[in-house]
Amino acid sequence: MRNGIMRRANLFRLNVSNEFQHSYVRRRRFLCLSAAPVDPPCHYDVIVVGGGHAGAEAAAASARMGAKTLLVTHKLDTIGEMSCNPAFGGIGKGHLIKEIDALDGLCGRICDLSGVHYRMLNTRKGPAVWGPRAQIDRALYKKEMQKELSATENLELMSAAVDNLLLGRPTETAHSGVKFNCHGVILESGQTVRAKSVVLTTGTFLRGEIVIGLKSTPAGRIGDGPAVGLAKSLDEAGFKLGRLKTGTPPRLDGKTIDFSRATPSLADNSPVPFSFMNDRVWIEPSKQLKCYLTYTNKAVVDLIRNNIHLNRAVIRGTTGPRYCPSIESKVLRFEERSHQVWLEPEGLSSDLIYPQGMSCTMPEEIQQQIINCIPCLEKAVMVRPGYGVEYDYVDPRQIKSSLETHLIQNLFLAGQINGTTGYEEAAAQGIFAGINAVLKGRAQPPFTLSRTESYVGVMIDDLTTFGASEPYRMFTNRAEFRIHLRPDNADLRLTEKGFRVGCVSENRWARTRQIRDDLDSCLSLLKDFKQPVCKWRTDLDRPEQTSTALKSAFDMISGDYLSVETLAKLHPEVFGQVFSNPVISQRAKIEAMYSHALDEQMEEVEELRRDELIQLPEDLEYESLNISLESKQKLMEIRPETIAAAARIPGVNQSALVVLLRHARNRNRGQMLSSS
Amino acid sequence: MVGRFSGDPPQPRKAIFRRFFHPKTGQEIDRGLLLWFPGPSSFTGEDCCELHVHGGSAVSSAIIDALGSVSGLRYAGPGEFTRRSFQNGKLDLTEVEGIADLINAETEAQRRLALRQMNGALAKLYAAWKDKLLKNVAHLEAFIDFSEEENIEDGVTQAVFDNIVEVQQDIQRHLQDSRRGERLRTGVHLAIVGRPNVGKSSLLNTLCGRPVAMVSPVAGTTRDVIETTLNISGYPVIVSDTAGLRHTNDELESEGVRRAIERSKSSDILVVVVDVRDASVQRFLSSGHSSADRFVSRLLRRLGVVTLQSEGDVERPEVILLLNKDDLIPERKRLELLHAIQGRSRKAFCCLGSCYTEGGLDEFLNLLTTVLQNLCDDSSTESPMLTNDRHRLHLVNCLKFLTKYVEEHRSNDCVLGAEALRRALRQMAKVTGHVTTVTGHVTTTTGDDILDVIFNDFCIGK
Repeated sequence: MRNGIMRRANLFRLNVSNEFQHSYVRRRRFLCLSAAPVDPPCHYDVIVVGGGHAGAEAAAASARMGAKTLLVTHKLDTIGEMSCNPAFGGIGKGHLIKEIDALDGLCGRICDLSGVHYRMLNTRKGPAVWGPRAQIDRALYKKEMQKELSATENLELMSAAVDNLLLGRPTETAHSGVKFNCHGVILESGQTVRAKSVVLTTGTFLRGEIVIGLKSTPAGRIGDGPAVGLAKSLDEAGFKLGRLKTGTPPRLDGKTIDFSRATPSLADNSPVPFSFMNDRVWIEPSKQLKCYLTYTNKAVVDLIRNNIHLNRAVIRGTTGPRYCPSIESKVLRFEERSHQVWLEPEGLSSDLIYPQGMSCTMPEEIQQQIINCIPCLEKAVMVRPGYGVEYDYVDPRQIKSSLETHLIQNLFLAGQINGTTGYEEAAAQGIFAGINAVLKGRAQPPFTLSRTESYVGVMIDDLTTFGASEPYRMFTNRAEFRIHLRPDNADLRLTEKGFRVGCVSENRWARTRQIRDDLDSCLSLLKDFKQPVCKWRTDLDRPEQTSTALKSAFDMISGDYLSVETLAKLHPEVFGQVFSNPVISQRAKIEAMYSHALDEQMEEVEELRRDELIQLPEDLEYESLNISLESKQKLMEIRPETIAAAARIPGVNQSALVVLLRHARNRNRGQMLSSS
Repeated sequence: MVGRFSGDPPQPRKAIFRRFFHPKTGQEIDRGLLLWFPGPSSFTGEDCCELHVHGGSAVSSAIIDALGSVSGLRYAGPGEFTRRSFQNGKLDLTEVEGIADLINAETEAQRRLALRQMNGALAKLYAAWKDKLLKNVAHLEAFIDFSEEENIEDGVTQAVFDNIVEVQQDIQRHLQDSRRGERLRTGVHLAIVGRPNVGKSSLLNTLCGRPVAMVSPVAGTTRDVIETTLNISGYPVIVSDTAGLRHTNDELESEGVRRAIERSKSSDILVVVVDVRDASVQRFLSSGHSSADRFVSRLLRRLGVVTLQSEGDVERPEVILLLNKDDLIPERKRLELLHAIQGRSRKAFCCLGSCYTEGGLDEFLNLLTTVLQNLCDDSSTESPMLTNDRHRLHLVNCLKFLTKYVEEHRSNDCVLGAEALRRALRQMAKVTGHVTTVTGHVTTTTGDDILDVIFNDFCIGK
């Protein structure tokens, strides 16, 4: 398989060698402004830089849409690498995977092929916040991902370092905020590769720096060099860059851990697949691996306290993400408590154990001592120390909701470069950037998703409006319309939209249509089947009542009293058949549970949607508006695309919004009249 | 909606005289003009309805209260009509420009108004509730998003529940302040009622210090409600003198009686005037044991102000009983009566006196002042007063969502409970004005506020 990729890469080199005379002198950044009267032809529609979770999804989405796509990364072998924890999904993150899958993305399907411990989180808290999660076999995931990508039509993979962007003058139609137009990339070798649009998914590699104890080494990931040139280019192009920090725990040798004293955590007996396309996951339920739980103790606190002078992050006061704190910052803040340490397997063929909760940047020998303080880990051998990573990110207020940058046309950013953390957050942006990169090249309007219809929409709106002062991670509480944005209905929310834009296969769309029709007919059956309350009560062996008010089966299953199974038994002639499909019956039940609350929320949803429909012209001259200075500065910086986005920007006041409405009016009048 | 409020849907764009009823209680609120503008030929382009009602703030309060009780209806945000109008393509550029100024003025005035109304204590009270709600929303959210993988203390949901019940009770108490603040702003309504010729108008004249109402020995002199505004011990009081209550065939007088009863029902204070020589007083005196409260209830029932007992949810007015014309009975009897009244009532609400000699009226004024204090001040708790209809509406909504949360708490799905709580918080944020009204979004309660609390209070992280 690897040979295949390499061959394609070589082939590619042959192709570009003819083009080489058109390329520009290496290292002369930005001086390549439209030298030739006619642009040389593009080699590709879309170039994706980076082969992590954002890059893989971006490249695959672009290729699915029929665009000629190139994925360039340092090493082909690291495509699909899970650099941190060996798990996908969770609460909020699982929602994202479902949405990616609804858009025909890869990670859900790959997880169904590589998980070793599937568990649905939050099952006792209501289906809107169920969190599908799985421990993943790293090696398998990578293998399946690479297999998938190399089999993808229209997609070429290439191993090379990208040194710079190929930039030109912006097109004449571009507004004043645009400084450049991106025509492709320049490789470290000096080669130029042209494309209509470029997606950067460089993760933590922009001036990445690894920190262990007091030592820091330039690197994007252990063993991989940083991308310095690219960061410099972005800097010079005028992007505001920030610096973020994240960390990863040490890895332990599982053979040296005494699991008998830890609390085991079992996988689900009937694992639920991530993908809407799958009815089951690859692994036999009984063959799944276990996770274990243990806790830190007083000895850990003392060790950290006594050695805190050896910790660069603590000395410098760099603040890490609040939801992925290092063990030392947890211990310093919440000294009294013992902290959870989850012992997670890294895969079927690996003895490595990932101690989740032990993210650590102390010197190596101290890390080993800390580990040995913890119950069950007294004899554990550390195979690799934990480390911190500091890296540059682009303030995401400089990108549009299509993930294209304001400053450079045809350049899209996705993943950690935008200040997010997590595989799922990266993948979701990746698929989005991939789709929009293709659309931009085809001069089609961007694909956007609203806060009212998806977690992806919530994330992108949050990023482009508020920026990221710490790595952004998805939580369900970020979504206002959480009871609508559920994992179970992601396909009904997004697949059709994805199909219309071309990133969803005919096959998937047919399946979604089938599910939709089955669910619809099931719901109408439920709503049409009505009988008096007194009849329901005798059916359910509840104390009799004389009420003859009619109640539908739909109303009845919305509460806790009646399950679909009981209903199917009570009236098999009506429901026997529809409820023989467990997926449909569960989805119908969930719809019923939330239908009342959803109806109540519709007004708020509509209100927001209306505001989202009012678009602000991209070329709006904020300078000339008669609004407060603070509003003006914020608006110029963020360039909101709709009134809804503008209203969410802290510091933009009411009167500024009214003025904006007027300008929106100019642009939208015809559109709105026709829609109303 | 319009139909439910006032009968059949009216003819479009015609001013029609209608009676307005409360959609829940069915009580008549006012009569006035109704204008019905079906979309798209309306200001906003949507179906619009205008109610032209009498200008008194009691009427508008009642109308707003009635409208607020209809689900799906809510206060328009400042500029919302213009916004909708704009969105529906009804206004053109210049019109919007013109209205922009208006909207600005409106919000500026609102800001000042809010500042004035929410000065000091009130703002603090609402802010404290908002903070408490925010904290508990955050804790419940932490439970939802983190409890599976992180150390969220056990019992966090129970603690949230306990706290919310507390806030719920606080708000309930605040709302049950009998509209003290609003009353202080708009005046306390006091109605003088009683049988004909017991001295109601004399009492009014005595209180005013001038002959506001005609008095005569003939029963039924007063026909209409006579209203006058007085400053009694520093409290603004709107005193209504009413026709004497009796069955009569005189059409005009019976209309007066109807109005008197109507007014007695909408009053904060009811002064019931009784002639000491009335047979009922004698019966009370001779019965020897029946309580003064019962005497008054019976009296009110006989007078036709019966609904007071039956309607539990309607606020009962404070009742003061004035036994008038005590100069016309012997001193011995007077003392006996005084003794009986004082001995047989739980609290002081009766007094003896004479509007003619003005004897005993100081005592009456003292009694009235105490009642006014109870109605307008809340010196006992020092808690600030609710002064604004808009606040009341949002607080009522907030309370509604809190109640929903409490109901959902027991069910399996804490998401629905959390949803109710988040919406309660949004309502509370609307009270304190931390809300961007063009979109109706609460900018201060973005997820990040909630997250801030979560990360301050819990140790979360892998």
